[in-house]
Amino acid sequence: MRGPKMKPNSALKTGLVLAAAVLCLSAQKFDFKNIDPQEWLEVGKKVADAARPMKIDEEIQLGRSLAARLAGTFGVWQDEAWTEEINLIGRTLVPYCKRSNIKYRFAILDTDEVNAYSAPGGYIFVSKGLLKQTESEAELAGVLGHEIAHVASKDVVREIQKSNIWAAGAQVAIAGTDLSNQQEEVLSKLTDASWDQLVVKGLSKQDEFKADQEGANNAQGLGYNPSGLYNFIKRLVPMEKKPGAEIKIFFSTHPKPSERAARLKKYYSKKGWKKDSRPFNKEQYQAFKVEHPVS
Amino acid sequence: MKKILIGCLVASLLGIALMAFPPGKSSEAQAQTKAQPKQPTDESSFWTMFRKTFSRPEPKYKKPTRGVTEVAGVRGMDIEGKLAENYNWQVVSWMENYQLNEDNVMDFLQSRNLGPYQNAGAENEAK
Repeated sequence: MRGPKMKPNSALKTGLVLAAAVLCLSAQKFDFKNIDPQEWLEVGKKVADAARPMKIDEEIQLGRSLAARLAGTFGVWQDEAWTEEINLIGRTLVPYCKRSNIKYRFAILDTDEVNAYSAPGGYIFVSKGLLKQTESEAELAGVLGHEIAHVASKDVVREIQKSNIWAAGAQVAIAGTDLSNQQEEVLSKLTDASWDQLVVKGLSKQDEFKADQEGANNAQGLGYNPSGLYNFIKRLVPMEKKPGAEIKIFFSTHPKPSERAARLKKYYSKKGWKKDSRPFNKEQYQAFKVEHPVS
Repeated sequence: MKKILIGCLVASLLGIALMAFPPGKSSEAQAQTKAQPKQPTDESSFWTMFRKTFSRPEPKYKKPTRGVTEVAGVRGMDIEGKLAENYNWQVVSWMENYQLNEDNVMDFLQSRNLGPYQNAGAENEAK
């Protein structure tokens, strides 16, 4: 049985009444007569600022702050020989990365946790625990190349720019020699967010896989065997099942080593890299480790 | 369809009318409003808003407040002082000032056939 069919005129009337009711309500809620142009302008400016990219000075300022927090939390192992070793490998990798126009700096965190961190602006840290796990220079070059790739791709910066903290504080430039209280406050919040991203949540899986590929590229560019990174990651696979305390943070902030190794293997074959075409510098590295034990 | 479009148009006009004369005001108040001499509308206010919206506003220059700077010319020392509890700024400065000896760099590259000396590796790859 069909219901009564509404006439077109009735439909029009009903529509009009409803539209009028809605408009009436919105007109009551929104006072169009008292629009403050300055207020609207401020809102528009905030929206525009939130969308602006972070400037290089600001990235370095944020990186310094995050680096200081990493150093303050874990401590830094200022061993002369090892500091020179990671700086020699790290800095000579830079010309082969995608963003070589900034200064990259390298230091060793005084912790047995296996991990490496890259703060924006080129502040890169590897841990003593990670150094203990590496068996060749090519492996260390792969790891440092991976961290350089994160900085070069601005992975942390990109995540921060998506955050509400950036949206809220972007109108305040955080660069300069003498920051105001407001700038300090914004910088402090951005450092907390970066810390959370890097040390607690970790970067996205895609960013990690991409950094693996770039890291291998960087090492290969310098002349190391790109399989170094693969070998290092592969060594961590058995720890997946029963991770010790020294690798728990690493596992919680990175994709599974088995997944990373599988993806890298595919990438190597796609690039046509031969397994033993370039040096690993394993013997030299082992000799160095014996001479300068990571205590 | 045509009628619906006409309906929407009429609704919009009605809406505009409602905005200009929002409901809720008593007829007395409306009568008072009518009785008052009409204020001349400030035409320039629209263009002021227009210009402000579509052009860059004049920046507000605020001289940054000066804190106690421990070492003149070193970036960020004020913040460094404030956050010293959890932050190790000395290490950051140490990282920034760390220098490699150029000769050591070249020796390192040469001894390992890296960088400009990587012909040996490239030759092996060709084989």
